[in-house]
Amino acid sequence: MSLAWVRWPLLLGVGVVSIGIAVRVLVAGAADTPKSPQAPESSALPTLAESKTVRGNPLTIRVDSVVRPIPVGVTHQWAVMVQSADGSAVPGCSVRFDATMPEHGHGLPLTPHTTGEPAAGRYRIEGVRFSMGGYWRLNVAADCDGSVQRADFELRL
Amino acid sequence: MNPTSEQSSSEVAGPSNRPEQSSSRSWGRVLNRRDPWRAAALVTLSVAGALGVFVASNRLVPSPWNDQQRAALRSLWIGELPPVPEDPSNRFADDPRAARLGARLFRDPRLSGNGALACASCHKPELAFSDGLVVAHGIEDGTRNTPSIVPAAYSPTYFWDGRRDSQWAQALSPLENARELGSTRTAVFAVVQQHYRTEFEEIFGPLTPVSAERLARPGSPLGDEAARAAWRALSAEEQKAVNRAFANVGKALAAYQRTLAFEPSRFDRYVSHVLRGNHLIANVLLNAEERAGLELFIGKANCTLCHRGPLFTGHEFFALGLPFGSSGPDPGRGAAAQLLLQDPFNCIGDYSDAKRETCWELRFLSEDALAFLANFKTPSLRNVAATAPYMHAGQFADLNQVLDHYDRAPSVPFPEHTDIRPLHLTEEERAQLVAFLGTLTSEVRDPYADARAAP
Repeated sequence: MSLAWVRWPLLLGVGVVSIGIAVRVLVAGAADTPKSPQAPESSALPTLAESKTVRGNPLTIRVDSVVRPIPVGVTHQWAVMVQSADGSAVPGCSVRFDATMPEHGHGLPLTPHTTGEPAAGRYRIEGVRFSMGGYWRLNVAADCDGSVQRADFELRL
Repeated sequence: MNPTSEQSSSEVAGPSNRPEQSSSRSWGRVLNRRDPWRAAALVTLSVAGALGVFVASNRLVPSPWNDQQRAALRSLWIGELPPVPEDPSNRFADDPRAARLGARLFRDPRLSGNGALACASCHKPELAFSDGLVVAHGIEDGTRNTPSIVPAAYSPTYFWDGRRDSQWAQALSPLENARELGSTRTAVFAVVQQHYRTEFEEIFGPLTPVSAERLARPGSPLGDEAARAAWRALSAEEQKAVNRAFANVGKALAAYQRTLAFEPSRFDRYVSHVLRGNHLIANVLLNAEERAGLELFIGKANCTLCHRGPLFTGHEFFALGLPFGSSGPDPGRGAAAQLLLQDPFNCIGDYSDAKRETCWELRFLSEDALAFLANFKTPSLRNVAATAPYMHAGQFADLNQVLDHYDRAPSVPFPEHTDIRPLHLTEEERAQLVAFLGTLTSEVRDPYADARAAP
């Protein structure tokens, strides 16, 4: 009874707070980050083949992006692994790495090249940047003491 | 937000709607003057209840977008834009003093050969930092359309053909271009020395003196015969001093341009609400035609292959088989590699602050001119509706013509190879795409809009 006088002011407060919450929800600024489970990356589309082993005679080539998921529009590194038929690493090769988009008829925006061999038979390729998403064909060649192995890899970004 | 409190507020609002209160009593009695608390509470609770119902129904409307489309919308949304990337070649890039100085220089017509033109003459703040012309018009007509400079700080290369690899190196080029500002680097040095010396030296250190007599003759290694002779008359030390100050003018101009930013557009507000599940409100922000255009943009029309990310560009170069501009065939990117390599202000040059390893565009530059023949950089589409005419030489007067070109993707003799394929859009679909592009217009935030050239 003695607290009856607070009833309407209290309800007014409840109303004001509710309006505040509703307005906040409705007119929230465009730059605020809406809650979302794991912002999907536009580049994280499924790939056809991120790495593949090509059995040749006598060399086997594997390729792998150092960055996952493989990005579009970002300059990044790849690794090329060269092995002999018995599975042992083949050091000291000259490795070329290139890529084209057969559906568009163009290649990479930069010219990647080998910048080191951090482990025996593992070659670091720098300067790889895919200019757009879609179907890419990677062309890799390893020249090891005159024995040349070429391998194509498919990639869908 | 807290759904529980919404629910309770709706319930509490209930009594005000009870028949015996609302029908038998007049509003005058409900809003009892003798009990203003009661009146205010009832009105407020009614409003809260109505809003609660609206919020709830807003969330109940099903999303018109599937998960993949929502991901695409998010990828284009300005809320996903990262901070402006660092520029290792410009250690003053984020120095506010340099930005303030750059904003003043940007508006200073004394940096032009005729004393009447400034950077802002072509990059007009009121036109989203472009000029509305077919091709740039400085001292004379240029050959290419003036691009907006607003999203430029995110790009690894500059100009339509990518012949510069930093924003500061780009800013220097128009100063000495005879068709643009038509000045010389010694003249720019003289302006800095005379009008900006104190603030310039506070940021970049003392200017190395160059004799007034030699500075009196406009000199540049790039100018006409008289300018080149005046340049040769300088000692090697003086040339270096002028080049260093000239590079720092570029670095100040870049520091300023890095601060220009897009405000959220109607499209961004729409995506913001879609991602929150506020579909009723979202649908007020974009009408059905614009939403249909957006669906085409991220779907059938393949626009996001190149116009991707929150700036609607991947900053890459493509051949579109465009009609020639007023100055004829343009090799574009095909001629840019040599220009970039020869530029003394490039990333590995003496005036760059970068370590060589970070100069990706130069280290891995392709010199295959044929592969990049008539390739031009993908521009941002933010503010596109406000920046006609379009393409690198202003070939298209409006967005309908642009869409018509992409739709037809004509085969052309030059260049032989093009990157686009026919889209088979209907007339209606093209109109929808144009309508959608209109939702990308927004203000440009310029923190130094009040800057004025030194008196």
